[in-house]
Amino acid sequence: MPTPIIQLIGVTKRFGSFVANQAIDLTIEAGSIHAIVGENGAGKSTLMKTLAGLHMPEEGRILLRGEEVMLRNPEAAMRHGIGMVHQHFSLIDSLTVTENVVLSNPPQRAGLFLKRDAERQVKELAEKYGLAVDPRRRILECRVGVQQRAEILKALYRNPEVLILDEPTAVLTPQEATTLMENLRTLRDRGKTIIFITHKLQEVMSIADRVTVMRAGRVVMETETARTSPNALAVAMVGHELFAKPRQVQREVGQTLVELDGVSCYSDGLGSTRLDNVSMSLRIGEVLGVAGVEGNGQSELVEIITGLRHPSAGALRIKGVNVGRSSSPAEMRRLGVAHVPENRISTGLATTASLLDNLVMGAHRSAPVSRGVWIDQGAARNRAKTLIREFDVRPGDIDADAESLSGGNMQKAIVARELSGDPEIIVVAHPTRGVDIGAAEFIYDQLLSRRQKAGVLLVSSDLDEILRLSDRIVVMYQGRVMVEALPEDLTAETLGLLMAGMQAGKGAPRVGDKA
Amino acid sequence: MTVQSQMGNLAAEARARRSLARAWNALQMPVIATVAGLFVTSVLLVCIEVNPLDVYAALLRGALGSLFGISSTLRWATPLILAGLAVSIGFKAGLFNAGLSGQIYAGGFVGSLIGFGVTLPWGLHPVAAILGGGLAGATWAFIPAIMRRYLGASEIVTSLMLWYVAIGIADFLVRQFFRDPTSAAFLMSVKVAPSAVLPSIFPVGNVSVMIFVSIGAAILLAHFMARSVAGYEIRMTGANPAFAHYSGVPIGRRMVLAFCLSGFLAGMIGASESIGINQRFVSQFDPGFGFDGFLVALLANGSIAGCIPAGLFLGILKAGGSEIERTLGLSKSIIWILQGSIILFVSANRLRGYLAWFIGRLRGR
Ligand SMILES: Nc1ncnc2c1ncn2[C@@H]1O[C@H](COP(=O)(O)OP(=O)(O)OP(=O)(O)O)[C@@H](O)[C@H]1O
Ligand SMILES: [Mg+2]
Repeated sequence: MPTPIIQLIGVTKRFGSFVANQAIDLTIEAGSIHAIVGENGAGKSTLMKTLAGLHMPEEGRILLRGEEVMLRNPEAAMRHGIGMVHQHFSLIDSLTVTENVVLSNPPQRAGLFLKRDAERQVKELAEKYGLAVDPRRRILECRVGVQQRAEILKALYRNPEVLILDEPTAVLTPQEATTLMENLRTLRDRGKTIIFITHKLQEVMSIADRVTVMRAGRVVMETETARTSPNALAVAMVGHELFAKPRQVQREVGQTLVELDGVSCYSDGLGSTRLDNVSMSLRIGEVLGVAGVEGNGQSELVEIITGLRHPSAGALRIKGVNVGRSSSPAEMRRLGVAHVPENRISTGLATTASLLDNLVMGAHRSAPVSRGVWIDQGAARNRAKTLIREFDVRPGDIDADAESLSGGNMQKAIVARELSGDPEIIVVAHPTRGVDIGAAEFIYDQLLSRRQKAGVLLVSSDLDEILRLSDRIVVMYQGRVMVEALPEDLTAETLGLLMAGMQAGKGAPRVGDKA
Repeated sequence: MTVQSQMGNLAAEARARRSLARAWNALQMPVIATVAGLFVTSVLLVCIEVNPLDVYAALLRGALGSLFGISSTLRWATPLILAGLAVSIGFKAGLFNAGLSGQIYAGGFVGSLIGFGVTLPWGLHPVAAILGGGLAGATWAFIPAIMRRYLGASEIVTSLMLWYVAIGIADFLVRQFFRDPTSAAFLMSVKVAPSAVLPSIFPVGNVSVMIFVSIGAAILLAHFMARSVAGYEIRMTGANPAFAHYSGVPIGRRMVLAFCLSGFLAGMIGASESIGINQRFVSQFDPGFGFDGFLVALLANGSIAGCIPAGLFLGILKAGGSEIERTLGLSKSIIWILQGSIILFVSANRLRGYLAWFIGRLRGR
């Protein structure tokens, strides 16, 4: 047997007294695709960060090609040929895609940055791996999916031998995910080693050669993918089997909560249209699924309904009240709007504040948490603890900074906060992004049960999620509502075609497209 | 096994342990930095063949060894604590009040103006002067704050520029209308009325009740930031404005509030120097409290209440410096070296990570 490219022996990583990785042994064969799965907070990201030089373990040894190494920082790891794509973006917002990608080693002559060359290189790299980006666009103008692609390109730019991807498909559309999987396979066939973390077991089954299951900081199972099944993996992860509960589509709807009437939205300054004459409504008792490839107006739609953006034209009514141009998030929240945003780090949390502070938000102005100008600490702590218990946010230390939570646990905390207080209009963007399969089921249950007293607007690039939860589906393409349909009239395939802009969805009536 | 289901005293104990842990967490960095700063300074002293222990002994003797020393320490700590608070409040809201000196100047002018221009009874007069000075500082901070809110102008630049404007206006007005005719070389105003003077509360030196005011302000503000709705919203605005905005917090108003509070504290410094120390308005009276405020805030490491010990500590350095000069014949600037190296280490926040890792490694073996 050849020397494995990576060997971890007894690696232990602690945060204070908390053990995030406990005596981990892990062997990665050169030229293989190795998947790592496990519940939220199992320690997957922590272990990979250790390999990428972001943490130094307290105990244990790291061997690369049989030789012990000290990975003091990411640069050292990179020099050893290890590149990592992080679960949360580490891009610089104000720079362009190109500038971010080449940041660690920009092409230059006589100390001058060769912008053209860099843009060409990035373009070539993007084409080679099928990751569509506009090299000249600034990151802050890019949608999450594009940012993710830029992040992957950034790692590939250094041409690493070992590429670690931490939940790379969480923010990708199914098509993009498929393309990425194919690309990973190509990379492997060219001799690279791939390690990737995912919560989607089909991905593991389809491309991984080996899979490691982690649980509570330990490795609990390691096997060849060919010798296991999604069910076996799920059992190893959570300790029991998971069943998707069948559900009933809801037909009884009540009062109209949100009404968009010919809403258009031109992006700031550039003049390009982000939303084009969109009319739709959300009523009590339904989950309205908004499907579409990232960047086709869904984000703008959500921002308009939640007051983060003003329509350039058209009318927005919340419970019959016109909220026009002056809307603000504060006003929308007063009207009963809750919002799980698409980006949990930049919008959903204050990561440097405590979990307590993050969970109190929104409830801090009314009883029982607020008593006049003061916040009742006891009531605030109680609220935070209740939410944590209910949504199983782990570890449940409310005084810890939010940034110490694992990605999935951050997401659970946001969903818990936004669903509390019985909001009537629940706007959720990618509610289960990065959440493990068990917790995702719980969030689905929650959203469905809220339907009785509320309307849910669900934006997701996960088609299964859309098809499973929605009572009604609209498909968006280039800022317009292409189609409105019932879930039983759609399959994942037709939905995929509609999202790509094909008109002829069978059995799908065309509405809303008035232009 | 939830906390609620446990006995009340167990919960109280857990709470106590938690706040202890938090206090230690906040203290760790300043303590490490102070030790490291002392070490670096000691090395330098040894290089010039001076026994560091002599220097530190003289420092302590000068600052705490006599009634005069103590009063001198407290005299300096008074404005230092307030300046540290002013900077920290800005930090909490994610703002950088670079124009502290301008707000101090404005407060100094208006405070003395109330001191010599208004007749008020003895007890009320200083209160009015201090509050007036605070309001002047707040007004001076209000301008950059609303420029940031409505025009997007960086508060760092605008508040700093307004410093010059404050000097210009105050000096001009004093020269034109309030100049003390007997003062030749220095530009200073007439004396404030006796009823406005803040008396010293010590038999020697220049400590006024303002030391209690600054300590009280620190405690009050710490409580306000930690426990009030507005304080919470200011903290969240500073921690992540996008998150605060998305959650419905009026972030523009919260920033303005925090900046004006910062300016108010700065204005109080100016007024208290004017009616307490100089008993008149003296041009260029501020020896650099604006800058010192940043040192205090950095040393306090983000903690509002931490400005009290940090201000006292820097007060000790300021007060002890002259004793070093007097007894050892060594330049006072050794104090600057010490101060500077401590601040350097406070900002080196990875130091703590490395230490923690090292200790963890030791424990693991
Ligand atoms: N900097 C930190 N300080 C304290 N605790 C941390 C820190 N980073 C991670 N942890 C803790 O370590 C545990 C493992 O976190 P990690 O991010 O590795 O989980 P994960 O397996 O990647 O989960 P997810 O699927 O949700 O991303 C979590 O309980 C987390 O709270
Ligand atoms: Mg993770």
